[in-house]
Amino acid sequence: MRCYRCGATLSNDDFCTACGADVKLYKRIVKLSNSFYNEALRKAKVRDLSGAVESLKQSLKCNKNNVEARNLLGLVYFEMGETVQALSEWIISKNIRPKKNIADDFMAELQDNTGKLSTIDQTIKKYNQALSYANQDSIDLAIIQLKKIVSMNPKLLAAYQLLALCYIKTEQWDRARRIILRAEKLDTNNTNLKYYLREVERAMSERADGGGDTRNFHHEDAFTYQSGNETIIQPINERERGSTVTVLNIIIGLVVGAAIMWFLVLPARIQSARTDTQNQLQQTSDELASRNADIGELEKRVEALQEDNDKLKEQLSGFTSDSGLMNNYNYLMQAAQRFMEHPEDAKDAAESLSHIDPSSVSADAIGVSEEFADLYQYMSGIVSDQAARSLLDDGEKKYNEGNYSAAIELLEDAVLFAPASDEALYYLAQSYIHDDNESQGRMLLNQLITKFPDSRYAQRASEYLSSGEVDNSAAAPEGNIGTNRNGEAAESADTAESAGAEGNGGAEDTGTAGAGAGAMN
Amino acid sequence: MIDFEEELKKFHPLPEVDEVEDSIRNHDVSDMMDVLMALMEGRGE
Repeated sequence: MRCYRCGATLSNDDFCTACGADVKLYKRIVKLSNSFYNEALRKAKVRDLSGAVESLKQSLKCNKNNVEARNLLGLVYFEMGETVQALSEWIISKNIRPKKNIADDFMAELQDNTGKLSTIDQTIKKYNQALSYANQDSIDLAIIQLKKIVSMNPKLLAAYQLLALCYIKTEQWDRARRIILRAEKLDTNNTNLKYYLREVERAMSERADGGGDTRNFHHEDAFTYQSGNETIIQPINERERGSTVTVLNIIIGLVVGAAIMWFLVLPARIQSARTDTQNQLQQTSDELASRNADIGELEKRVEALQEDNDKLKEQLSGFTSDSGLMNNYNYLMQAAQRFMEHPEDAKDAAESLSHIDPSSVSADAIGVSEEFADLYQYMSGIVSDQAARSLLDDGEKKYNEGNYSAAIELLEDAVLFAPASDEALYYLAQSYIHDDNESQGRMLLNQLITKFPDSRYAQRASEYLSSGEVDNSAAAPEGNIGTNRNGEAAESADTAESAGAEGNGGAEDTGTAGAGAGAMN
Repeated sequence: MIDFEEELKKFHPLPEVDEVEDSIRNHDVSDMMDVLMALMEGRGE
């Protein structure tokens, strides 16, 4: 201990041996300060923090330079969550004793853990905010904030106290009691906490008894015992009920559970299943409609393709059938070949041409080339003329021989090849008359008169029809049959035969030798 | 019964970390030794 005036070390005397100052009272004050410090130390050891704070404050009131007391006060503040006060005490302590001060370690540990210091600062701010809420009567907001604070900084005793007070305000007695008991683990002898706990328990007992005497709660309905520093109040269990009641309760519980399932759970599940089924049905219907649309479209395409196929088949058959274009080509080539091999006998070539339908080889017909049509016209002109001429010659020969049936057959073909031949028609009629078929002969003669009125054969026919005198003169071939399907053909025939015969008056007729050739077949 | 309003008056805002300087500056560090010194000086005079 040093003199407060000169700083010299004091002896056991009541005065300073260096400066002579009276230090008796001074020594008593220092001892009193140390006494308070010792008391605070004992309280702190049993976590009576609020009591320790009061003792340390007394100690420092006696001697502000009591560094140990100041350091302990800072430590107790820190343990109560009041970090700023703790730092203040440690800084002052450091100022009083700059060296060999444990406050250095406390502050260094706190400053090294910046995360913890930040959390503490946040909780302090939240506490101030919660206090503001409470002052504004926003108790619910204050409770929410305080619950966060005690979870972030479980040492902040003020937060526990304020939270307990808010719970008491909202009459949440159980929660208030739990919070108070938790806070009492931090500060075992806090006067406020004990006051709150007493009020809470009184309220709880009133609630349990319907406002009855609180002593009933403690002594009749509850069993109270001490566990360390805690007072445990355990309600006395009710008398155990009989097994029948238990079974009955279980049955009732099962029934209630089944009812809940039946009325609440099952309808929801059924509705959910129905919804799923309807959704699946709708989806399936949509897919089916889409498939049907596709099928309809495909069927239309199939019908269109079938129609195209039929058309192509029809066109192909038009080319490859017996009356088709390919056969016409073949028969025309055959006729040309036969005519080139035997130009003097055109009957075979005419037979080949007879297979060709004249209407299918016109220049306007589909698939018929102009060259094909020209060749056909050329061939049919030459061949028909020559064939008719040959048939007429043969027929007249048979006529002269008296073989009228053979003559009829040949002359019928000649007429067909050369319908413009008055000669062939006349001798055909005479052949019928000589063959005892006068009616047919007369009919043909009338036809001759009608078709060729200026023909000399028409004159002879008229004579017969008027006199009935049979013409027994022999037939004389004239060399030019007079078929003139067209002028070129007739001219060609004349040139080819070069028979030098006289021209026939029926040259202007435009009958179709082709038609005759077709009829021949 | 607890009077909430009265109890609430006992709670005060805690100083924040950045207010340490103000807290120290406003700290009352006078003690009985200061009173004694004043008395002693007064008697000496």
